[in-house]
Amino acid sequence: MRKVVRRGNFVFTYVIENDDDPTTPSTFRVYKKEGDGSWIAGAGFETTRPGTDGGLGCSATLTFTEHPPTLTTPRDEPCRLFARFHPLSGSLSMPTVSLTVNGQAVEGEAEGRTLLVDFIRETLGLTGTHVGCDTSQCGACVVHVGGASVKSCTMLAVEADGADVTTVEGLATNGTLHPMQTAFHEHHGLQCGFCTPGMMLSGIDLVGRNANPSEHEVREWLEGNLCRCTGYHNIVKAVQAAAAEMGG
Amino acid sequence: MPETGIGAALLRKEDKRFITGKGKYVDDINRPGQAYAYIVRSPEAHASIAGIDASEALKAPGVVAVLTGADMAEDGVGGLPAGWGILFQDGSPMIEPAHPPMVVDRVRHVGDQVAVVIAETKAQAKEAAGLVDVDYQPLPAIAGLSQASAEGAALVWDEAPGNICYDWGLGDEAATDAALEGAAHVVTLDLVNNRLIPNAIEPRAAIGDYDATDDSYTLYTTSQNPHVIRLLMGAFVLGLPEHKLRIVAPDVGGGFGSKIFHYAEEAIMTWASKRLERPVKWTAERSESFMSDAHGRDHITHAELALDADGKFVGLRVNTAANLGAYISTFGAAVPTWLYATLFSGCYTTPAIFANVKAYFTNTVPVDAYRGAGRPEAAFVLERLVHKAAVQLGMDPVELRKNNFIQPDQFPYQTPVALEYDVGDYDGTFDAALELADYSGFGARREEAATRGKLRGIGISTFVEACGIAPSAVAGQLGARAGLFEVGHVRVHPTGSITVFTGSHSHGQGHETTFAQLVSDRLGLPEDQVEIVHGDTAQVAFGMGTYGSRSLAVGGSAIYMAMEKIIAKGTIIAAHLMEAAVEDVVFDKGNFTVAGTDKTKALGEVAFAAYVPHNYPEDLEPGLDETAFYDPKNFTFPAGAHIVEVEIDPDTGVVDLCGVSCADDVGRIINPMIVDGQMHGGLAQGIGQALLESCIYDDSGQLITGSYMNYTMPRAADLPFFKTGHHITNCTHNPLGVKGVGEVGSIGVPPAIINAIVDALSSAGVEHIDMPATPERVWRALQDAQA
Ligand code: FES
Ligand code: FES
Repeated sequence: MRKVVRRGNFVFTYVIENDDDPTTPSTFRVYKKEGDGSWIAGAGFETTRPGTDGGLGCSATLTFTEHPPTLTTPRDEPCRLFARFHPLSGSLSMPTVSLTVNGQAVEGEAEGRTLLVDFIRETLGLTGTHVGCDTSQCGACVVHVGGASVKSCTMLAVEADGADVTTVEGLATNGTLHPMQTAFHEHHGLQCGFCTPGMMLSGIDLVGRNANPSEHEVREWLEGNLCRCTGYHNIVKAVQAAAAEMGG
Repeated sequence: MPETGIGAALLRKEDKRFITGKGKYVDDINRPGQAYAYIVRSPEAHASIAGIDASEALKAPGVVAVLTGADMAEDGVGGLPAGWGILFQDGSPMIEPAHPPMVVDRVRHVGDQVAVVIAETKAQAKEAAGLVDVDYQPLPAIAGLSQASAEGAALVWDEAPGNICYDWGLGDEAATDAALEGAAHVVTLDLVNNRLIPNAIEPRAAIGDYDATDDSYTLYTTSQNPHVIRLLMGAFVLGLPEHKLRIVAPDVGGGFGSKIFHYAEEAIMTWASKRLERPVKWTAERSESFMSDAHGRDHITHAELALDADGKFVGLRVNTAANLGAYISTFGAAVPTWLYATLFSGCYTTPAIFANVKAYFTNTVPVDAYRGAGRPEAAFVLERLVHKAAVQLGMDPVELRKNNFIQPDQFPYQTPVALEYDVGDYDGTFDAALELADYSGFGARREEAATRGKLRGIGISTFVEACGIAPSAVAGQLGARAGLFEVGHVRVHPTGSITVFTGSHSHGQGHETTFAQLVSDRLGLPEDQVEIVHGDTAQVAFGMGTYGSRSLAVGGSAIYMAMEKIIAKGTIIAAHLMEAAVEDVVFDKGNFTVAGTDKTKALGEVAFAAYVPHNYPEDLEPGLDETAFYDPKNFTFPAGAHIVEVEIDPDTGVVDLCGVSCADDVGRIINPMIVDGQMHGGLAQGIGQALLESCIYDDSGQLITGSYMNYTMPRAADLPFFKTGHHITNCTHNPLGVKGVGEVGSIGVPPAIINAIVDALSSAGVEHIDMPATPERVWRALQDAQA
C-alpha cells in the first residue's frame, strides 16, 4: 500500500509493506517543491519516537538529516523539520515543536506552515500577542526570540523549535511590572492596547541595545510598529522614561 | 490639579490588563466546538455571477459547509439597512438599493462577499476558499467619482440613473447666489478630499454562537455600539427578537468610526451558527480590512467664498460630489450631508450659505464615517478658502479670521446651515494657539530657514465641529432612523461600592477611568470603588454606542442623570434614618447631612438600609439602583485653532513638520491626560490624511492600496511631538458642561498643514496642493509653478 501526503512544499510518500502490520511502514521518500515549481527528491531521515499516537496506529517523528532541511532560522542555523505521520488514515499529522516560553518549557503540534504567532496564540493560548496584518508590517505580534525582538508572524513555529521566547505575558516578574510596562501606564502610552504588547517588546529590545535613546532614535526604531490611537507621542515618552528607569 | 474626580489626570484603570497581555479582544475568544469561516470575496470590481461551484471546496479536508447568498435568501435573510435616509432637493427619497450580506448574482466592489467557507480550522477554511469556483462575468466598472458622473457612464445600480444616490441641498440658494453676485471679491477653489482607509490595528472579527437549548444567539463582535448591531441585525437582517440575541463587544482595538456599522460578516456568522448548530468564528486578515471596512472621505468640491471690500464674508457656495461606494453603509448617507454641510458656517458670521451635495454610487467599498466624518471635509473646504482669500486680498490670515469670528455675545448663534451654536470663544482659543505656536516669531524662523535653502511656511485652521449627536427628535427630522440618546445605569451595592452600566463603548478612549471619575466626583467615593461595565447587551439595558465624540457628552450625561436619581432616593432614605425632613437633607462628597447639624449618613450606610430595609420609609421601594435615558438637547460645539509650521526641501519636496500647535475648546475636561491622548491620536490621523494616506483604485476598480505595503500609515518617525493647549467654555446644555474631544485633531489639522505648505511655496506662486502632499506632489507643484 502506497501513501502520498502533501503538506505545503513537501510531499511525503511511504509504502506499507505488510498490510497486517500497518504500524511499521518501510520506505519513505520526501520531495520538496523548489521555487521554480520542480520537485526534488530526497531520502535520508531518521524516525524518532515511533508509536506514540495513543494506539491509533503508528506515529513517528521524522528528523530529516540530509534533504530537504534547507529551512534556516534568522540565526542561520539549520532547523529541524518534524513531521508525524499516520499510516491508517494516510494523513500526515502535525510536527511537534518544543520551546521555552516565558521561562517554561512548552510543547505543541504545529503544521509546517504554522506561524509562530499562531502557535503562541492558538496552541499555547497566550493571546497577548496580537495579529494586526498579513504583510509583517504592523508589529502587533512582536515577541522576543533569544532576547531579540522578532515579528512572530515572520517566523514559522518550527523555526522556533528549541528557542527561548518571551511574550508580553512574561514581562512582569512575580507580579512586579517590567519598567516598560510601568512607563506605558504612567505616560498614557496606550489607548486601545492592541499595539501595546508589540510596542513594549520592541521598546525593551531598543533599550537593551541603546540605554539612552534620543527621541529620534526611538521614533526610527519603532518604524516597524504601527499604532493608530496614540499618534506615538506618549509611546515615545514612555520608551524614553523606561530607558531612564532601566538604566538607573 | 485635583488628584481625584473631575479634572484629575488619573492614570487609567484599564491599563493593567492591556500591558500584561490580558486584554480580551474578539479574536482572543474561542467557543467550544467552534468552526472557522473564511469569506470568498470578489476579485472583480463589477461582475455578474453566472454560477458558483463549491463541489471541490466541499471535498477539501475539514470543510463543514460552503454557504452563499442564495442560501441566505432561501432562509429569508434581509439586507443590511441604511441607518439614515436623505432626500433629494425636490423631496423625493434617496435611491436605496438592496444590500444583502452575501451577493446573489452580482458583485459590486472588490471584496464584496460571495460565499463563506466553514471548516474545522482557519487554515482549512482558507485553503478551501481557493477551491470555490465562481464564474464572474465582468461588467464595466465605475472606479471613482469622475467615472460615475461622466456622460453615459455605466450604472452601478440599474435603479440609480447617473449613478446618483441623492442630490441634496442645504441653505438659502437664492440669497447665496445674490451675495456672490454683488460681492467685492469672490475666491474660488477646487479641491479633493482624499479617500482614506481607517485601519484600526485590530482587524474586525465576529463569532456567532447559537444555543439550540433556548433558541438564542450570541454574537461576539468588534463593535463600537453593540446595541445598535442588535437592533439592526435583529430587526432588519435576521429577524431575531432582541431577547434571544445577545451582542458582546469586549475589548476592541480601535474603531475610529469603522466599527460603528453593521457589517455583513456579523450577520453571516450569526446565521451560519444556527445552520451548523455550532459556533462559527471569523477574523479578518488585514487585506480583508482594506477591502471590506468602510472607507472614509472621498469628495470632489468646487467652493466659492464671497467677501465685501472690508474682508467680511458675505456668502459661501459649495458644490460637492461625494463617493458612497457600492452600497449605502449604516451612516454613509448622513456623513456628506448633515455631518458636513451644517459645518460651513465654521467660526464665522457668513450670512448666506448654500451647499449642494451629489452622492454617487461607485464600484468601490462603501464609504462611511471615519474619525471626524464630514466635519474634516467641511473644515478643509472652509479653511483652505479662508487662506486663499487672505492671500488673494493681501490680508493677514489672523486678522481676516478674527474679523469674521462670531463674538462671545452673539451666542446662542443660529447659523444659516441649521445648527444653533450654544457657546464659544473663538478669539480666546485662537490667541491660545497663536501663543503656543509662537506665531509672532515665525518671520525670523522663516528667514533662518531660507539661509539653509529651506522653504518655511505657517498655516492656520480655526474651526467648529458638531459633536454629541443629537437630540433624537431633530435627528429624526433630518432622516435618522434611530434615536440618539444614551443610557446610564448606576447600581449602588449594599455596602456602597458602585457598578455603572453604560451604553457607550470604549475602544481606547478610557471610559473605565473617565466615567469612574464622574462618579467619584458626584458621589464622593474613590475611583477604585467604581466599576464601569460596557459592551454587552446582556448586562447593559440599552445604548447607542460611541461615535461622533458623544460618549462623555451624551453617555456621561446619562450616568450623571442616573446619579441624580440615586441622590434623590438616597436623600429620602437618609432623612428617614436621621428622622429629619427630606428638604433639610443635603448630599455632598458622599454624605447625606441634615443641614446645619452634624447628623450625617454616608452613602454606604444609606445603601445598606436600602438593601436591608428594616428601618425604612414606608412606600419606598428597596434597593439603590437607577437608570437614566439622556437625550441631548443640542449638539455640542467644540472649537479649535490649529497652527502648523513646515519646512520644505525644494530639491526633494519633502515636508518636515516643524510644529503642530493646537488650542482646543473641548468643554469641561474630566481627565486632561486622556483628553491630550485623544488629541494626539486625532492629530496623527489628520496628519496622515494631509501628508501620507490615500486610498487609490485603478481605472478598472482594483484596489491599488490594499495593504500596508502601499497604503502609507503614519509611523512614529513621521510625526513630531504635538503642542496641545486648551481654552475652555463649558457646554451650556448638558449637565457636565462637556463637549467632546475624539475628533478635533483629525478635523482641524489637515487644512492647517496644507495652508502651511501653500504658504511655504507661495513665493514660487503655488496656490493649492491636494492631499496627501507627498514629496512628489510638492516637488511637482514647485516645478510646475516655476516653469
Ligand atoms: S502581525 Fe506581525 S507584523 Fe503585523
Ligand atoms: S493603542 Fe490602539 S493601536 Fe496603539
